[in-house]
Amino acid sequence: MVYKSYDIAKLFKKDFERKYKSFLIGFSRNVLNLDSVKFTFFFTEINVKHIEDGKINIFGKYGGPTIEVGVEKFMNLISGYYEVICAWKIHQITSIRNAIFMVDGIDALYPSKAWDELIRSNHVKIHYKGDQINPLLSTSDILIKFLEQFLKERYSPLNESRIEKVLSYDGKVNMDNIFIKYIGNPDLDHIKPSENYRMDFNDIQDYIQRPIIFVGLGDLKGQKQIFEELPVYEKLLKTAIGLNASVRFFDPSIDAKLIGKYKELDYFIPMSPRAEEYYELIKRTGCNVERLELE
Amino acid sequence: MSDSIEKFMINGKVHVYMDNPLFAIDTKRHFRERIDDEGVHKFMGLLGVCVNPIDIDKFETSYDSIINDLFTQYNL
Repeated sequence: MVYKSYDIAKLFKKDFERKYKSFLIGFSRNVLNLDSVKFTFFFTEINVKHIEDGKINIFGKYGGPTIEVGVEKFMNLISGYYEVICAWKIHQITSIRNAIFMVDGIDALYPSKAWDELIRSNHVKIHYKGDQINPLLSTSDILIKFLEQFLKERYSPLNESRIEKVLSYDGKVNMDNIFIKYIGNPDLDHIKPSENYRMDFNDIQDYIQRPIIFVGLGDLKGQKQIFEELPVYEKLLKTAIGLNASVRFFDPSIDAKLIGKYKELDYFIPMSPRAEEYYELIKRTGCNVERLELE
Repeated sequence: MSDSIEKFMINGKVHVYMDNPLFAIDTKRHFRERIDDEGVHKFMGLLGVCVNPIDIDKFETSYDSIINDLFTQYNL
């Protein structure tokens, strides 16, 4: 099975905090010492002192209007697509081409110079539920949880030496394959949103990992949370691992733009009478989708 | 040039797997507070990690082994 950090946290009952932290350390130390893997850690804080009036100009592509935002709002905006920014930084440092950058579900992607430069010569693959399906994305998720958990234990400026101290764990981790990179003030022009427009599935369809398994529940609140605790969810994830698929809970208001619209077949698992109706409707409209039964 | 960039370049840039270098990325918001005489100062930072294996099959074997050993150790 493949686990995200949250799944692991749920497994600990007694003495949760100590054991969970200890698990994160154990996993991270082992993985970071693998000599066949390179790791690059990124950190971003915007230094207000180096910005005029403490504001950042965003948008303005194609001569459109710009607006000024404070650092907090700016950080919130770029946090929605920080994965893209990290991938672009790798591309910028190494001039790499034809690389595959796998990310776990981006939900607020704005156009930016970073995105434009990245996709010009590389491939982005957005995996929904990727941290429960793909061991590489699971590893990224656990590592970043480990780093964040230990950084927040005491106040200290966010910088390279502080991050290195956490990662090296008193010299128990070999730092030869670990790199730490700052992304911030000098990169503002590339990382800021260039248009006042949040990209939707029409814009990013080519970058989504297929096939997608859509799970149709009903309209009751809290169903997703209940479903994720059931044995059938584990079956679903195993099936997704086998198909190297993405998984999404079907929301007609969002996913209608996505389901069955691609050359590769999508799958639908109806888990309620209402979901059955949606499936029949989607099928009748000619979408490239098939029902999937969980064994 | 920082030490990290030098090492990045010296070590041969990145691992390449089947002609396509492969990277997996995840990120997290990082909040911290500092309290001084002027009050509470809140900071938000962003953290990211990019994992770049030389061989995906070998990596998955290592992943399974690490997870299984830890699950055994913690009786999970």
